[in-house]
Amino acid sequence: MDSIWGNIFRDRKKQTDPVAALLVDVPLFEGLTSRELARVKEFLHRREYAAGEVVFNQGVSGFGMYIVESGSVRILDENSGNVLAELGAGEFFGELALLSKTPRSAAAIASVPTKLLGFFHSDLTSLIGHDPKMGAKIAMKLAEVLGERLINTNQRLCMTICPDTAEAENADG
Amino acid sequence: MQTAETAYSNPAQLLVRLLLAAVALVCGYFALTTLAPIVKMTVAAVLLTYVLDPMVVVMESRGMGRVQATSVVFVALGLVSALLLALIVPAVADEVRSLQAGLNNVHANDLMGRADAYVQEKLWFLGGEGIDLQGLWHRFVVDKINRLFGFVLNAVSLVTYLSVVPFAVYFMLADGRAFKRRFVSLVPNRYFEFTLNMLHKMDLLLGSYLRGLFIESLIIGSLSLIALWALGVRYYVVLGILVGVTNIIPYLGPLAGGLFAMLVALITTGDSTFTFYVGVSQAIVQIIDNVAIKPLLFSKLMHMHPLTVLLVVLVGGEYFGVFGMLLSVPATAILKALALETFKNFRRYFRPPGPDSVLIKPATGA
Repeated sequence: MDSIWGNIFRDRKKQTDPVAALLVDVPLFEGLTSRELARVKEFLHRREYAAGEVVFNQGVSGFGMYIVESGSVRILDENSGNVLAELGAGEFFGELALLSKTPRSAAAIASVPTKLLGFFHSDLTSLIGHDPKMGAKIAMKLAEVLGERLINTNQRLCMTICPDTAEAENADG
Repeated sequence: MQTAETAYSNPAQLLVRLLLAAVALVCGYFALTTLAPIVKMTVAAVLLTYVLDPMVVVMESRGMGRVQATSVVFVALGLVSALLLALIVPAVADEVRSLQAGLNNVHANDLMGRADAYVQEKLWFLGGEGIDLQGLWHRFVVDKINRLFGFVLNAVSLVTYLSVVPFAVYFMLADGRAFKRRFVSLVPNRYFEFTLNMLHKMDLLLGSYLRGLFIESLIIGSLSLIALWALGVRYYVVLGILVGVTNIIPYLGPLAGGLFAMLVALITTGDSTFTFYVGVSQAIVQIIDNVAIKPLLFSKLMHMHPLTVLLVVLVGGEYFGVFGMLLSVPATAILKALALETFKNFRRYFRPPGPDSVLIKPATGA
């Protein structure tokens, strides 16, 4: 009886899939149900990179985004060598390529042994075909994420070009 | 992981890789030709998978899992096939046997005899005495048509195809995505995105082309059947199906199908006016195909000049028979896309970064 009781009330949190737990925190997949996250997981590609290995080069046509499952990825400008960002587990990059195959605006290199989950334009297209409701949710979230980044970039540009105006706006706001 | 310094910086290593790739290609070709029957069944299974995939996707979009969706589609297909087998196939098989006999009848022998005499008398400069049209015709009827229709009438081949191909199609539909992911997981990181992109393009090109071809053949076969039935042509069912099937081969297929229908009409009736009407009806069907159906289904899918299409079909037919003629056009389009994509990204994928590149000496961090 103890074993049956134990099975009925077993702690289901222990059985949570680590990938699904990771995806829950990615803004792109915010609001998806567990069934939908399981469906998204079918379309992800897990890749392993050694320390110093290039994920993608700057200027190459991009086909999708990556989510850092473990490890760390450095985003840098190949021309100047400036490190633009250092991303850890749960963070993502390259999401613009989900919409169009524009050249990558920066290079990405694994700083340490890293595991990435790739989600690509072709996979998003397939997902929209297989589950239009879920595909629309993801597309809307993608638009929100890109819109926020655009706003942030505009603000930072404004700070650089016209710092006085930017400070005044910040003071008013 | 191969470092940038060693990747392709050694010409000897590059040469060895190229040689290995060439050997793999040659072995692949020999394997294809040696295992031709198995390859043909696999190709047939792949083609059917592409045609049935949209139906499975529709089921998936209704909330079904991939395996359940595949099973539902298969059960539905099984019921439709059983209905066809019970109702249509026996009638078609009878018509085929009758057609074979009809092509070897008095009309046919008389026609070939008269053609022989004409060639020997009027076209003597072609070396007419050496051409035995009657003998050629008999060999054509006995050999080629026997082979063409023999498959349908040969129970053993049919049973093999009906058991192996559906089995393969079921698992390709249910697990195709997993196979693709498994294949992609074996590709090195350096070529991973490129491979994924090319597989996606191949899927789009091949899938759209084959599904469009299937729908087009159904429509053309049906139109042809109706036209021949309206004209009162004997064996209109078999001829309609034949015209639909031969339509899958660009340019040459419709011509062969139409000419065969006219030949059957001429031989079975001996009436040249009636044969002309049959020819006109097939020409009208082809006009409808080129004006209305093809643009709707294919648009500018393949981006290939018609002359290029004709040449690749001939080359495909020469080396790989009917399957070669069917697949040569999408295969060429895929190879073209692959070559363009490789050329565009050549510098990034096949040349390592220079010694001063920040990618060689990334900044170390915590």
